[in-house]
Amino acid sequence: MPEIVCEANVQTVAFSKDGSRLLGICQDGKLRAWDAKTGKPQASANLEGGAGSEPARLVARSLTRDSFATRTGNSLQIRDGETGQIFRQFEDPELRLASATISADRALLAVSGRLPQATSEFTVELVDSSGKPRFRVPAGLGGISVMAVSPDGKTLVAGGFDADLRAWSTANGELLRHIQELNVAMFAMDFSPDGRYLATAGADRTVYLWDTKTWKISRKLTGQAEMISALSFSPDSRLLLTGGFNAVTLKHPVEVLLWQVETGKILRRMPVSQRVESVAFSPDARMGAASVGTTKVFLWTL
Amino acid sequence: VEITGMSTKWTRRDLIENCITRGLLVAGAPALSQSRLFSLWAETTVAPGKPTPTEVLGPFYKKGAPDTRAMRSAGAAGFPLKIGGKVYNVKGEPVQGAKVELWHADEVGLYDLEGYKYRSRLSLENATEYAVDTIMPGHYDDRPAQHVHYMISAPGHRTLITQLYFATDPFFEGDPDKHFKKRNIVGNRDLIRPVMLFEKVGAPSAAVSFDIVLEKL
Repeated sequence: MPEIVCEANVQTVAFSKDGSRLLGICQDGKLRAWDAKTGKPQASANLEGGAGSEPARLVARSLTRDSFATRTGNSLQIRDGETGQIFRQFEDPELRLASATISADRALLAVSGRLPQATSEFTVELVDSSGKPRFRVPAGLGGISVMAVSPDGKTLVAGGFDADLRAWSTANGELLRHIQELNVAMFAMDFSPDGRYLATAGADRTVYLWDTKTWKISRKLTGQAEMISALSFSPDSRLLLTGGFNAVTLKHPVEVLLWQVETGKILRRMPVSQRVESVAFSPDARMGAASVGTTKVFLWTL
Repeated sequence: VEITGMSTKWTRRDLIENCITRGLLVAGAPALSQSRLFSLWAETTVAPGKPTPTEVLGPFYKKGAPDTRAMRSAGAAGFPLKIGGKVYNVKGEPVQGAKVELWHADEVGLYDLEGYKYRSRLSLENATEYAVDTIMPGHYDDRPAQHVHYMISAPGHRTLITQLYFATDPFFEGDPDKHFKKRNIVGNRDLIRPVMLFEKVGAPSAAVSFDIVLEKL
């Protein structure tokens, strides 16, 4: 299968809705496309807009992978995943931005960071389609490594470097759960598109599948040799892709794993050359892709 | 003896010479006992009034560390290092009852996430001083400056998350004042502490004093 070498750093990859193209959001502020079968480059688009002279930087992408958020200068933009066109633009929050996420319907943007006057405490802020903050809540001392909004848009979840998992109501910021069961930080999370599970993974090389009704661990998936940095459910919620990194040298070869969600079985191990930045399924889950190291993209027929 | 980094290898002689030229090493140390020397050294570092600067928690924190001063096992690889200090409030008064949690990478720059090697959470109870026996942490790709992570809490005080760096680290090229901003890794010059080296034949070791100043809630 094709291995693509891009001329710029690829921050994240996703397939187009029709599955024919692979899309990469790149650090030079371009949205690049490749043919999903051959890996041949297609037209790229500049991520225009925003006040700054610096290129638009990816800050978040939606659960459904059909939109993403960027930052340019002092504003944040929610964009279409295929064209890069701006749906909505927000004033940059007062927070020193650390991580962000957007809801599947593109209506909500959540950001985490530190307020300028804060010493150690981190804050999560939810901005709704009015462009104004709906709420701001405390989010611990360690900082938020990863966030996600549930497919129904009702729950915002954040995983911290302090190993805590917090869930808030997107309606009013009520803290629904503060889970302190894990010992180490999460670096990746994804809701299953059917809403049944939240998968989290990180420094202990394990994927935790949380039942979103009870917020108990439903299953632990073990078998990845490296710390896990990327994770994605298939559109039918039945498969998972995960990718990792070696903690000593990021240039160490690692593996992308394909898992069956119901059994926890590893269906396939796919070696890649470096740290995995993102993983993605095609809409029919017959293909998988990963952005690797800085400029490489791997494509597989699953 | 070699202090091994990812890209630079310094012999202990290089390191000591460098320390002497920078005034980081107390020359003629063998005349005094280690503990006496250490306390003299420590007395010069107290700077109440200003809370200790904060740093990020980092990605490799692990909950549940044991309460142990002996973080280094006998015969462990790596350069033996003692770290100690007092916990103060901003008025310069010693603070009792602190929990001082420390964690750092091993000699090759790896964090133990399976177990609790080089991780400790000390309960000071009535004491106001902490001390651990450990090794000099190694370097790793993403964060090439040697460091020890800290999380300190005490009743009535704001929890502090910070990091300790070493003035002898080859990363600072022998001049922390000049190079502390390199690659935006170290947030504050005050977190880079002098290292005292002990010249015991066949068993050299290092000591660092790092006092903590907490803000009241």
